[in-house]
Amino acid sequence: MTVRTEDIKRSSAQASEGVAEFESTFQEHWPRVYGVLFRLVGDHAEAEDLALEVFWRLYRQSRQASDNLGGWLYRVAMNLGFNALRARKRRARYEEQAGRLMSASTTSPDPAEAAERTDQRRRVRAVLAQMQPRAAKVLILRFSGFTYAEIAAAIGVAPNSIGTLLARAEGEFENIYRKLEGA
Amino acid sequence: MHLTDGEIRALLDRELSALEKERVEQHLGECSQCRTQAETLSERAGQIGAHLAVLAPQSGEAPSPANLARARLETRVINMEEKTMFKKIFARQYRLAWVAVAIIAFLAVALAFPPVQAIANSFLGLFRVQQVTFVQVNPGNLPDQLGSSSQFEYMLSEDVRFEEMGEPQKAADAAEASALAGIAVRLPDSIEGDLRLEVQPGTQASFKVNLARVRAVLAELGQADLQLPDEIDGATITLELPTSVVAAYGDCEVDSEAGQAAGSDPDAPTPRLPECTTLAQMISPTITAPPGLDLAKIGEAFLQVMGMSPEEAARFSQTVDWTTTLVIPIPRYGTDYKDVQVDGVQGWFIQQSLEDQADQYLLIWIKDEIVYALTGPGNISTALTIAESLK
Repeated sequence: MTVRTEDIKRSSAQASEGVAEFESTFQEHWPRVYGVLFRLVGDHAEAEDLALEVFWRLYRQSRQASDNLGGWLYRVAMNLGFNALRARKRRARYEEQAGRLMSASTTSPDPAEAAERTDQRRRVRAVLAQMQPRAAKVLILRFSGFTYAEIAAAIGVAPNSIGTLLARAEGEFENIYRKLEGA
Repeated sequence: MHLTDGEIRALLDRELSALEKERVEQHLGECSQCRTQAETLSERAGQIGAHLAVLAPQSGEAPSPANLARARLETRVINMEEKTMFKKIFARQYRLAWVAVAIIAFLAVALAFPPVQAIANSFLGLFRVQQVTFVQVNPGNLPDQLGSSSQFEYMLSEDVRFEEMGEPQKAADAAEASALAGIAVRLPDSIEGDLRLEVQPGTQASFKVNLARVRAVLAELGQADLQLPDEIDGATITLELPTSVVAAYGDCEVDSEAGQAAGSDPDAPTPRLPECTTLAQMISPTITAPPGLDLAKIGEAFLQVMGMSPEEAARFSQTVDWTTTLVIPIPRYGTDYKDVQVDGVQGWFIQQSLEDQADQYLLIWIKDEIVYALTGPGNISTALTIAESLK
């Protein structure tokens, strides 16, 4: 019997190609994956933890995920982040207290400004947590600087429907924001 | 016909094609109602943009440098691969891989079967698992690595036939599960939490040995030197895994990994890794194979594929009754195992301890031809307490 050594060489070359691809994907997308997750969860450590989770899943799936890689990454990131945001909503009261403590002990050069930002962030995330998940994701991605094509890939819709989804999402955000602010 | 909000919104974001942009701008020039709507949408987008801008990371909130983060990911990969090994043993999507490993194990069993006994079993040898033994191996040689072997996948697709006898079914209680599975299902008394019971269909796998391909797999696994006898070429070995019942308690991921893999439903919840205790029970699997293959060395070959040195493999092979023993590979590092008394019989207990994570155990025993496998967070007393409370 003969083992075709060319085949074996080829398959190990493919494997190392996959490794190189994973490394470059990580370098390229790490800050951006972190960025969208930070916007959702608002905590440096938790956002990094979730971002690592995204890449760990990519690592496990590397053989299947090569098509539409960016779309896959941000889809998983938004799912994880949004779930974390909703879990957080359930313990909102604790967070509110923690937020006050945090803003009191912040190292920011301007404590008043930091406290104000913490408060604004809490309100914005409360609105996002109450929105339709897809609408909230569209908003986060759009205002993190994603193009319509990138948003479409991440949420799995046609690019030409993003304008409509975005306009609708902004309407939903505005309504919930007003309701929460009692205006 | 007025413009849609979507068209206006895309215009504001400069996301329209040149052609569309021209049309939309021309319409805005002619239609005061749409101009008013465009102003409204633009103002709203500006306000919401300002709201969302406060979420952006500030100077002290930037991500760690990519290289540092990459190193942390590596640590996680190593930890998680070890942690999930227990789950993989019974996770549905890994069952086929385990069947494949079992076939390799049973191939060793079959080939090591003493000819005298084989003849006593008439034309086909029929063996039933009565014992379980663990071998400590390097995780680098576990099924995941086999799964990334193209030759192995080719062998599985060409030479192995799997037949699942139906679909998994949920059961409400032990009585229903017993009726569906055809065994007297026992459940523990001493465990808290929601119970989910699933009856998994039996699986029959037959492997027609194509010696050239087996050798190609071995070569790819770096075991080209292993000697296999020519007589096994063309032999058919059949493994029957009977219907099994899995009882899951606590925070368990049920078939969710497959969904996550596809990223199929963006709105579906993606559970974190669980605090999950499972008890699997099934009639002891059986293997049929042509008798008369007295090639004890094959057992050693299997052990070597699993990461043992030739000397270790030969030594271990001497201590095992290959005809009745299922040999399960476990990682060499981070695990302890020992024999225990459980449920009135001898059982086999493995403990896995990992940094930063709850200890996990696996307890296996075989009583009245039923194999029980209990896994979950905890230690030996957790495991024995649950096992001893089976009703």
